Amino acid sequence: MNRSILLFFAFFLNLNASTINFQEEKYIEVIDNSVFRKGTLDFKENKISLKYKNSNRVLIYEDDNLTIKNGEDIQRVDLNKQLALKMIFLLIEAIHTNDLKTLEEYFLIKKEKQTTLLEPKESLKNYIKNVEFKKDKKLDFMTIKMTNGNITTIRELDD
Amino acid sequence: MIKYFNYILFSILITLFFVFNINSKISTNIHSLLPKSENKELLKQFLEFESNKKILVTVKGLDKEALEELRSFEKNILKIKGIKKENSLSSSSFKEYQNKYYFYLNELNNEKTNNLEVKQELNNLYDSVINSFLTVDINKKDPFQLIKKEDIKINIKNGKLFLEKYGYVSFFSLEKSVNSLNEYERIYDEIKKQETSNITTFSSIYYFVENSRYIKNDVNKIVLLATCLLIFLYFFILKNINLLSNTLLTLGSSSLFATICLTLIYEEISLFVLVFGLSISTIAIDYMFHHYFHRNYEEKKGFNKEVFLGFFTTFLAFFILSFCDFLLIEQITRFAMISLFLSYIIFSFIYPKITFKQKEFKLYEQKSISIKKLYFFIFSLAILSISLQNINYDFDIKSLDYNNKELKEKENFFKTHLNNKDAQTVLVKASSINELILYNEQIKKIDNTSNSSLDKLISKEKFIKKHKELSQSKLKKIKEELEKYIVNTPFKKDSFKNAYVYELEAPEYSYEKLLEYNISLKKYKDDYISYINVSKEKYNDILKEEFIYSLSLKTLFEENLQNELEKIVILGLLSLVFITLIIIFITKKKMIQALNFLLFPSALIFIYLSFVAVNILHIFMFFIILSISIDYAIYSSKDNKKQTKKAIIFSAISSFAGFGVLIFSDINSLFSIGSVASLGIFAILILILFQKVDNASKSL
Repeated sequence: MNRSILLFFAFFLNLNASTINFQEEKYIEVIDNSVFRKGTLDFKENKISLKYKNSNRVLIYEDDNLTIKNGEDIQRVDLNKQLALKMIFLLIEAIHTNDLKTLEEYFLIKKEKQTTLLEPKESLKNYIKNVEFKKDKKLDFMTIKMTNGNITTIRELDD
Repeated sequence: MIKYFNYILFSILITLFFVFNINSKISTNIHSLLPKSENKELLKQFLEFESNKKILVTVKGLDKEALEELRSFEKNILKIKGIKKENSLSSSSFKEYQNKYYFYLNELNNEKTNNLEVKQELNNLYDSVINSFLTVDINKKDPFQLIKKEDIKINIKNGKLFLEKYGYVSFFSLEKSVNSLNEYERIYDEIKKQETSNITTFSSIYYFVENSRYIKNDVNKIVLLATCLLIFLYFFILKNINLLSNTLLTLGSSSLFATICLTLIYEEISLFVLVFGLSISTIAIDYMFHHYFHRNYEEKKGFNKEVFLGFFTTFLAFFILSFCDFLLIEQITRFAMISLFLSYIIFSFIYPKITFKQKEFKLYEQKSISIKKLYFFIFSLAILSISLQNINYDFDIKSLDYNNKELKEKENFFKTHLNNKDAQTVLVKASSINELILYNEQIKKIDNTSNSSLDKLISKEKFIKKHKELSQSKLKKIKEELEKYIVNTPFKKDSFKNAYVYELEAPEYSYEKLLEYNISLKKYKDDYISYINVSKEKYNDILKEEFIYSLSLKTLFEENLQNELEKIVILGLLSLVFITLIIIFITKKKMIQALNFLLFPSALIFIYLSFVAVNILHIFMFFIILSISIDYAIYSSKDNKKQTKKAIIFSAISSFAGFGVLIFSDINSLFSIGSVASLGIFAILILILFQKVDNASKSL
């Protein structure tokens, strides 16, 4: 099974993409509603920057640290409070770079037709229920279901 | 038939040795030297905790190649039977419990609680939810984050834990079923096969494997050396192979017999006892040499009184020392008594029936130097009075073990990188689970940096106190305001229905439930035990608590040794008094000449001991050397013929083959024995060669 997934990644994925536009759909359980936002994800070596449209705030994931830049103001995010967020970045990076081994470190990978289902292992189970994604030439969708009932779906948009 | 007595006896004993699997009762673990006590039992129990069976793995470097190397290593070692990946997943029942007692198991931020504006906070919460990056992380029990959270530093790079300024790290553990040294060895060997120059691994079980192998190799080396020396002595000088094979068989039979007898008395015996016992067995060679050189084995001469007196005094010295409660010495002395007794019987009563012809040979004759016995006497007394004032003791039993520096460095490396360098582990014992938790809470008051798996639990007493604090806090008001203001917000009305609700009943813990919660807990007799890591600074204060037990071998042995040292010295001196009285009684006018055999070896040994940290084995060996010397004192004073000198010289060289070769050991305990023995034997040879004696011929 792993081999077929590897072929799938190698064949279809856009390995060198540096910036993608995306739409985020965030279902928030406590308000029983979804919030839609658009933004860009900028991939550089060991660094991902996330910026939403109409916002000055930039979230930077670099060397496994998270910082929020708001103009001149730089705020380091407390990992203890944002472990789930860090794991989501880890997921985005691994899926983007086709880093199957990192995914295997944290998830059981199941391929179902054209989508891939990731089931968390060990302590990650405390935060993430499962992850589903479909990636062709671009990221069709990636849905992260959290154990607290929240669901985040990211779709890559055409340029 | 009697000619084959030694062969038959040896065959019977070696068969018994293997049939009853005596080998399995011989331990290389230093713990087996600990006296039988509650502390020893508790230490054994502690070693069975899973935390002692972790395997730490790290790779040098933080680049992708290093990560790849570690991953492939992980893949390979997970194929080894008995190894599993460290599981950090909490059980669902534990999560449920943590959630239920959330406000009891964590600290409330009183300042924030007292100053909280619920309406405003709800608006802030809504803003943060809407504007959050990618996901929303709300604790519905505590949406306003009124509980203080500890800062946990997790170093993750490329999705992998790493040690700062070094490289990636991963953790494995052994299955519960892996408990024996054989299994440890199998796992150790298989891991080592996979290790590369970039990969470092460490586990506490490595100590068992590496130390045991090192000690076994060292012992093999020494036994080989001793055997070569004895073969050289018999083959090239005595030229009597028949005598050699019979003597080796007799010594072997005596040692086997003593080992078998000891395993009937003790559950396990230390390899140190065996090595030491084997060395002591070689003392018996002098019984054979005296009979042999006095032609007792070829002519009918009757009972040899000198040899009997030599045996009797040595046996008596061991008998007196055997009253010492220090397990190592108790076992060695019992081994020695059994082994010497059997050897004496065989050498004195069976060998004359087998008959051995003496072959003539000449030894080097020393005629030029002759020193008056009084000079030896005065010199020895002077040296003893000075050196006895400069003795320093070392009570640490670890200093007797093999000093595995390389492994200790690895352990320190991991401890330093995992910020655990100064932690000391203590064992806690209580008659009930609640008492155990209560004790852990008491230790936290002494040392707030202490940590234990018991930290996840709360005692009934602390629950009542916490409950009172929570009742008096503003939580109830906050809850009411939350319910009031949430109506006018976009939040679902029941989103926070469980917020700021705390339990009214204390948790009921059962043994099985706590194991499910991954608490390190064991039942021990009618009590419960667990362990706590405490800081070095508070360690001694914490040890004073009656429910706390030390897990340090150093502390355990020190207590035992300090209690026993006085007894050893008294018993040793008592045996010395006996020996001296016997010497005076036997030697009469040649008293000084005989006493020199006690004083001169003592003097040389104490010059050495005044320069080193003296351990228990130095002291013990000192008394043993004196009990050997007395044989020579008796032989030389009763009869100063060539044959006697020959017998003494050969006995001394044989004793060197038995004890002296231990000086070549890298294990401190064996080296201690070897150094004292070598000096003692050297002193005896000097006396034989240079002491001017009455009516003596200096030719050998």
